[in-house]
Amino acid sequence: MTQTSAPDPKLVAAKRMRLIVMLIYYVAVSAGAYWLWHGHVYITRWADDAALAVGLICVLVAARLLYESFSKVLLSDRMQVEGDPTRRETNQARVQAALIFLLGVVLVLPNVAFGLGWPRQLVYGGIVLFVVVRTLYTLRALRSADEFIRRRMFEAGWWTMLLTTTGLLLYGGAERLGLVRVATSWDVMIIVFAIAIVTPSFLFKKPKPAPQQT
Amino acid sequence: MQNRLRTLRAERSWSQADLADRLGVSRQTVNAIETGRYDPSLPLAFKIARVFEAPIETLFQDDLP
Repeated sequence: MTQTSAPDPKLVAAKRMRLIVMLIYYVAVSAGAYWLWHGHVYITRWADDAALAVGLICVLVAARLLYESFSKVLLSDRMQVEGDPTRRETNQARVQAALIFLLGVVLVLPNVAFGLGWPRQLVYGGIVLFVVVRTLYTLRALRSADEFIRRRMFEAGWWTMLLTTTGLLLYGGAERLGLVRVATSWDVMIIVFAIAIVTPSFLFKKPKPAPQQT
Repeated sequence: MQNRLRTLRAERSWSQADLADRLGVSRQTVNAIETGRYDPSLPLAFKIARVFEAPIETLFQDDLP
């Protein structure tokens, strides 16, 4: 007879608490996003709305990862390993959360800065700084990764490239023929990032608990 | 590909972290191999065989009938 193994009560309780905390956080951030959306952001095209939506998703995902980094059971569950996470693994999760959060901010920043009249050069300097930090971190992560982690990174990158180049080829052809509107680099950037963020979550879904033989 | 890593690790009372340290990989990698989500490269498979002091064909079996 086959049955699913009983879930860890500690994990169930931690997930329940996470749900409550994240709901409160989601409501607060969504209220902030609503405030931005209505009169405080420079919106001229669909990509501006999309940038705000993707930026919001990044901020929410980062908060969830940061929260999980403070719970041993939740972080172990996310990493799909037995035992408590090490200090190094916990720190890695926090750095990742910080980078995802900053990515969300950077995606929203140009529109917000323009809408609120912030100095453009300074804002752009911040974006460049983030790009440098993100690039260095990604290269370091790739170099220090083992074969399984590296394969996942390449797999996510490969799917992202396939989807974006296919989309660009189709849209670029249609644009040159005058069949669709001209896209800007901002439009293309937000679509590429949306695909890059969504692709890993489809590729690397958590496996269901293994059935237990009785 | 099926493997006996989890059983052999349990026989030695090693945690996933212990095995990961011996193999020089992350715990996620050990877990992914044990749960059949990832088939290791040939060099890593040989390393696993050396760590468990067992022939490689006794550790891994393909899914073919």
